[in-house]
Amino acid sequence: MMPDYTGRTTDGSPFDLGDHTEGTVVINVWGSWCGPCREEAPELVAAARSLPDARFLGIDVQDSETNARAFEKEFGIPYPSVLDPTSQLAGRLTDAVSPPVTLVAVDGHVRTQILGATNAEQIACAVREAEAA
Amino acid sequence: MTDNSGKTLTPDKPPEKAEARPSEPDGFSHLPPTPMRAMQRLGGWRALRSMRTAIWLLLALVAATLLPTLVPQELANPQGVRDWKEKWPAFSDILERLHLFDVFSAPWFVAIYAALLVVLVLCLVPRTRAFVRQVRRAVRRPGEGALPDVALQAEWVTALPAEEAARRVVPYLRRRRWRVGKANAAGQCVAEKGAAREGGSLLFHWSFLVLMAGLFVSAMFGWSGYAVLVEGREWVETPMSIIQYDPPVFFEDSAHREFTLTLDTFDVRYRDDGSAADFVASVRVADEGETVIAKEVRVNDPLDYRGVKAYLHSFGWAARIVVTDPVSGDEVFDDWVILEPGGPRNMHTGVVKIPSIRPQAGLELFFAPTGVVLTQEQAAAFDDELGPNVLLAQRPGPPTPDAPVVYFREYRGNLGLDRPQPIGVLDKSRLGDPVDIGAVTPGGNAFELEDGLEVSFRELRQYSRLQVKRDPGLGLVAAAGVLLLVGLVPSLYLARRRLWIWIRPDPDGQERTVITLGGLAYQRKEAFNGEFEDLRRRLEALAPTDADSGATPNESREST
Repeated sequence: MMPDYTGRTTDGSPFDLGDHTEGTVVINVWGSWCGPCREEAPELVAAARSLPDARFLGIDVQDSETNARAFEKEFGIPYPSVLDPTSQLAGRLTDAVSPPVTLVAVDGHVRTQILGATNAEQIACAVREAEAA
Repeated sequence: MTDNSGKTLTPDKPPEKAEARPSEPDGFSHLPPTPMRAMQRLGGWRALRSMRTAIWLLLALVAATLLPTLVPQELANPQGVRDWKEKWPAFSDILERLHLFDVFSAPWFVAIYAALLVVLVLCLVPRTRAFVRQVRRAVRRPGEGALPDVALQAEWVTALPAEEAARRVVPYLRRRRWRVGKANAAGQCVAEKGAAREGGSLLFHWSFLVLMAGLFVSAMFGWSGYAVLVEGREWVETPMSIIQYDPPVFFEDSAHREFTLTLDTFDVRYRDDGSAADFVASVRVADEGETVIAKEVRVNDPLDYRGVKAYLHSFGWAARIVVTDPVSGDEVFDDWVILEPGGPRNMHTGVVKIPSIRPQAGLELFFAPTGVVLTQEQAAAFDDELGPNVLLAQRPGPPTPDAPVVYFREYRGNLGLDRPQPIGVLDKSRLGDPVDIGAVTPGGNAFELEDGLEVSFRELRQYSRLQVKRDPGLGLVAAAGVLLLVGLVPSLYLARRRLWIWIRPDPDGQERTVITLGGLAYQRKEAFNGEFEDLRRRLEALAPTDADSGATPNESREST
């Protein structure tokens, strides 16, 4: 089950993880300082466009707001990201020791986890698996 | 041999009709028979139960733990591993196949460790069982005949009847904590003392097993790493926030407590030569939103919360650097940069990476808490990577921030973030030479570089690097230390001793009793000579030649 968590997104909006407990949600844990996150960012943008029924959410870890915004602008990230400078939220969702990690949750339950850089095809496959599970 | 005066007989005089010495007079070294006869025939079972095998395995383990001092380890020094692989690819390939870049996770290391555990158990369990049996069992009744040919012997004649002499001698020995066995039909019995030596030796050996079990538990269920905290900032205990994280093998889910640690202040007192005399981190722990601990963490006084310990490891300065791109007008970098000590001219170094602009930019920072301006000759005298044109150095002495300044070099090109690299290292292989230089002071004006980027130094704070670890095997390791000490003392200072006592009517037919005493120490024989002589004297006082002058056992108790 998704934990309770409230915070702020990179554009300053309030964030509540409780708003993401319905339907399929693809959660990407990233950091602007992380090389593999840069590698997979265009793939996540493509996946977000090709999977309109899934909601996408970013969790920006161990990062500053400015650096996160620069990253999002550089890659044209179309979905919101919550600021998680202490990795507290990421730590509640995954045991991974570093980003990138991509999780697929269905109705508030994390069903699949992809460790390391991913691509649009892998994400689509993970979404299908999670929805079928 | 008869000596009515009661003098101790010389060791080189064998007694009459000396019986053959028992093959294992101590009875301690017998190992119980094993069911695995096939292995016994091959000698493998005996080798497995041999302490010699354990010592060889222990030496192999020690040798293996020394390897990381020679070969960089993936976990502790990933950059070092990469450097080796680049410099010596073929050699590194062999090392990698042998798991020498990650010794402690290598299958062969685990195999040695497991083998040592197995051998220790196989050594100690039968030995302990034999020891317990030995302690619980009554001292064996000796075979009839002359006493064995032992080094220390004494004999005297008492006017007491044999029964009365035995009533005085045996209780006295028991009061002196000798374990006295039953007498045979001839009036011979055996007394033993010093089993605690074997017990101590067993405890000493068990302590190694407990120590290894503790280390195993820590490796399986514990974790370790580092936390870097800048003053005023928070850190949460989750795997992703731990640097150089060494995770547990099992139960990752339950290994973390997710508490929040805040470094309020970090204070350092320096000596005149610039070394730190004392440093203290004032921290607060919050759990589920509530502050639960406020503590000053010092060297050897770690924070301990819910099984997680945080030790002071190192400290230094952190600079908040902001870089603005004039093209977009946006800030492209704003973060705390850790400035590590040990740079050229006693300065601290750090890096800024700006991957979001084209071409990408990197800054190499050199920080002097108290910067001094040099002449060109003084700068040239350093003969370092900064060169004679950088007229800046850290003032000798305490690095208090009296005149803090960051000197930096700007690089443009490819930061190489498509390859793994530490956050604090600038990969210059695709950046080329520096394109510009600059200097900024905290709170001062932004420095405008030739390409238009503006660099400012907003704030200076201290950071502290804490070693954080959860060590569930620590209790076992401490218990092993106690066992080791408790076992070592008796095994070093006690000796196993045995007495043979023969109380019999005088064979000359007179109504007198002959008492013969034999003594043997299996260790510390010199010390036993005195003890034996003292014992003989006291026993002779209890059962004297002249019955009327004999001390009663109760009187003798005073002198024990």
